[in-house]
This record gives sequence, C-alpha cells and structure tokens, in this order.
Amino acid sequence: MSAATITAAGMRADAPIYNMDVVKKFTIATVFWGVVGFLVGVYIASELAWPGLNFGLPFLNFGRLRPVHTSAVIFAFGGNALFATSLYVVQRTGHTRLFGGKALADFLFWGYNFFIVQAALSYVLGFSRGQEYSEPEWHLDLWLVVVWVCYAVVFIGTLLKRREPHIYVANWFYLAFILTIAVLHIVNTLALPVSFFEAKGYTLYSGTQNALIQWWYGHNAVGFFLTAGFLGMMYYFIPKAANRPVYSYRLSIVHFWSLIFMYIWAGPHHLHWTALPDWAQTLGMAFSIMLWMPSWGGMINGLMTLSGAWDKLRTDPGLRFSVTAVGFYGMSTFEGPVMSVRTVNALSHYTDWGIGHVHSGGLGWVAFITFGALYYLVPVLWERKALYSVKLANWHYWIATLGIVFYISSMWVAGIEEGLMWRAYDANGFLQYSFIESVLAVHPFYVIRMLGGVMFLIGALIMAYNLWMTVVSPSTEADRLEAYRAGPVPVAAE
Amino acid sequence: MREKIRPEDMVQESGSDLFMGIFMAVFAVVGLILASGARDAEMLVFGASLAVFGLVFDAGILKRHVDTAQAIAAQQRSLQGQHQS
Repeated sequence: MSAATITAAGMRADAPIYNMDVVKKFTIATVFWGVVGFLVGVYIASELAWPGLNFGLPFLNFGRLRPVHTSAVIFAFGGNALFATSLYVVQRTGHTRLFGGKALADFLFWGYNFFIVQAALSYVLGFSRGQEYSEPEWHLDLWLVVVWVCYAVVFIGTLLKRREPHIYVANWFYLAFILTIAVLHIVNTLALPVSFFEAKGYTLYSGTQNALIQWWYGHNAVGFFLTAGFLGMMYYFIPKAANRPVYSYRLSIVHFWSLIFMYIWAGPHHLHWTALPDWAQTLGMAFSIMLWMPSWGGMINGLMTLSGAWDKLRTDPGLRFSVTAVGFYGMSTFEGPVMSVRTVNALSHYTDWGIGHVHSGGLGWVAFITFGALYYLVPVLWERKALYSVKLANWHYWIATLGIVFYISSMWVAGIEEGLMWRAYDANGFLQYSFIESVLAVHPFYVIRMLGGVMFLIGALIMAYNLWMTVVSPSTEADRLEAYRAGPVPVAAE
Repeated sequence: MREKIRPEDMVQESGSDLFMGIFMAVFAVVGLILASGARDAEMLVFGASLAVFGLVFDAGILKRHVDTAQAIAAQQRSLQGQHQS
C-alpha cells in the first residue's frame, strides 16, 4: 500500500469506489441459473431413465431440453460466475473502478442474460444449429458477439486504467478466457442465414471441416471457458480465503502459457476413428497427453497454496469447496488425456463414460470452485460479517460431494459396460448384443445418476437459502468495515 | 440506495449513459424491424424481445439520470440553506 492517507475508519482516503452493483447482479444470477440448470439436468436424467416423462410434448423432449441444461449450467451458471468474479477481481487487484461506466456494466449483465433466456426459448421452440455447446442460431450468435466485445472493452479498459503496476495472474487467466472465447465463437458460428427474417442459418463449413472446426471450438470451450476462466477464480479466491500467498507465482505463469499454447490443439481427440485424417487425430491426442503437465501445474499450485493453512479446511466450508474443486480438476485433467488415447477412446467414445468425465469436471471442478467463490463473495459484497450458517454450508458440501460420487461412479460403470457390450462378438463373428440390450443393462445406473443429480440440486437449494439469509441478516457498521477490509488487505492476490 | 461515484468518474458515467442509450435505441429499432418481417416464431419472439429490451434499458438510463439530477439539486438546496443560516 502506498503512503496514501488513512481515514479514521481505516480506509484509504483515495480508495476507489468500485462498481460492485454489477458484481452483485451477476452473483444473484449465478445462484439462480445454477438451481435452474441443475433442475433441468435432473429432469432430463429422469427422462433417460423413464422416457415416458416427456409426456409426448415436443418442448419436453430430451433433444430440446438437453441444450437447455447444458447452456444453463455452462453459459448461464458458469458464465454469470465468471462475469461476477472477473469484474470483482479486476477491480480489486487493479484498485480501480470498472472502465466504461455503469450503463455499459449494466448492459453486460442484462445483455448476457437476455442471450441466455432467448437461447433457452429458441431450444424449446425447436431451433438449433445442432452443434454441441454452440446450438443458438445466427441472430443469437451475433447478439452474443456484441455482448462479448463490450465485456472485452470493460475488462481490458479496467486493466489499462489500473492503479497497480502489476497485473495479478488471475487477470491473465480471465483475459485469455475472454479473448479466446471471442475467437472460438466467431469462427465456429460463421453462417449464412436463409433470410434476415428467418432464424435458420447454415454454417460456412461442411463435412469433416465442419466437424473439426466444431470440436476445435468445443474442446476449447472446455479449455478456455471452463478451465482458464475458473483457474482465474482459483488464483484469487483460494489465496484470499486461506490468507496465504500463491504457492509459486513462477509456476502460475509457466503453467498459464503452456496451458493456453497446448489446449488450442487438442480438439481433434473428439474425432478419433472418424473421417478426420489420422495425422490430425494423432496431433490432437499428443497435445492432449502433453496437457496433463500444465493442468497439474495449476492443481499443484492451488493445493500447495494451502501450505500452513490446512487447518482452515475444518472451519471454512467455502475454502473446502475450493480445495475439493482443485482435487476434482486434477482428477478430470488426468482422465481426459487418458480418454484421448485412441485405443482407450475406442472403448470410451459415445458411451456414458464421457458423461461421467464431463460431470466430474463440471460438478466437481466448475461448480465447486464457484460455490467456494460464492461463499466468500456474498458476505463481502453485502457487507456481512460471516455466512448466515456454516452448518448449512457443511451440509451443502457433503450432500453435493456424495451426489457427485453417485453420478460419476454410475456413469463410469455404465460407460465401460456399454463400450464392452458394443464391441463383443460371438463365436460366429456376429455382434453379441443388440443396442437395446445395452440400454436395458445400464438402466439401474441411469437411476443412480438421477439420484446423484437430485442430491447436487438439494445442495444448491441449501446454498441459495443460506446465501439469501446471509444477505437479509442484520449488519452493523463494524461488520461493514470488516467486510470492506476483507477486500483490500494487501496479501496474496493484492 | 444510490451508488457513490467519484467526480473524476462522472464524465465517464455520463458518456457511457449517452453511448449506451443510443446503442440500445438502435437495437430496439432493429428488433422492431426483425419482428415486423419475421417469417418464423423464433424471429418474432427475438425481434419483439429485443425491441422491449432496448426500450426498458433506455428507460432505466433515463430514470437513473433523473434520480441523480434530483439528488444533486436537493443536495445543493441543502448546502445553500446551511450557507444562509
């Protein structure tokens, strides 16, 4: 801290007045969309176990609701969490107010959530590009570009007007996420509309090229949206909650550059055993295996930041969520490279193993690191001394963790069983099982998966109640001051 | 409660209001055009929603502007009262 004047209340006289209003809005939206996304997930998991639950209604069909679930959890829950935390972190670590004024910041919130709602509506109406994680048609894609460019302007503008000479590493991860998602989204969604007045458009690419572009986008949506962005979250909130500096700042920089260099090449592993040339498949596989190292560099850095503060896991459930998330991150970034090996992929691809893998990353890493950030952020943003109930947060932790265990273990078993049944031959060289036999065989695991999802949803509802009660609980002037100080303490991240 | 803003940030705030106000008005008009010529339900829903979105967003900017102007005027009246007494 510079030699700035300190007021009687303990604040710097020249302290910036941050725009926390937009951070609060994104935080509320994160909780809301989390609950919605998990609820839709439970419903479509139930549909897979009991298909009659679509009641013959087109808008309840699995094919229409599945992108509602994926968009709600990835782009609505995860996206709002990334907006909230990135706009919070860039202000606090830069000691400056958001660039672009309140109107532009408000546009980010309302514009992004307008996109989410419109996309969900278009899916249930039956409109989709039919490309995974990139389902919205051209008009919605264009709207997202407008919002995203504004996001880049606000974030980069704030970085440029920062009052600290150094750019803290969390901001590097957020910046990589913002810039790369812009490139991925624009390139993958280039399309020719049938008409300016029709929602249908056709992609500029065709056949294998389209598949390659799609999975270059798809895998890097995982790499830069669900990994880089949330690593930014990890690098701010774990040091802050643990009150410890990052274990190795040098490691954070090394694994940042190696991660973003390698991730961009890994997409072709989604297209093993297809019309994609072998060399391209091998390239994707090789980079996926190399990715293991930078991924674990981040995991080690996150975990080792707890050195000397492991005891806090007993008393701080938010930090426990964050650290468990890093464990899941390490596990799923080990599993991913294994599944990218062509021979392993021959067994795992198109099976529920893939579903188990993405949910160990999605629930264990993305959702848990977000829960950890939310349990830290809400008392600070609403100037409360502490959470309403640590006990409820503990309940959330254990119910959600058990839910994940149910989910991923059932999907692993179901996936391997499917893979083995699909490749089994009898003595005469005929396929031993019909497809429907494999569906019947995994039915019990679909029910267990649904129960795991229900547990995760219950945990999220407990969190929503706990955070709501935290916000409406009484607060004294001393609490407000303490919450203020929780931010600018110049340790770890600042 | 109204948010406090430092004087050096005020210029950026009013510039942002003006820019976003015009920006959203343009989008509202685009939304109306899309809705009026829509050939499917999705484009009708999107166009109409975009028009409403733009209008409501601009109404929010105007409300905030009026609230701020009234608060400043009230503050000035209060300061003048203190000065005269």
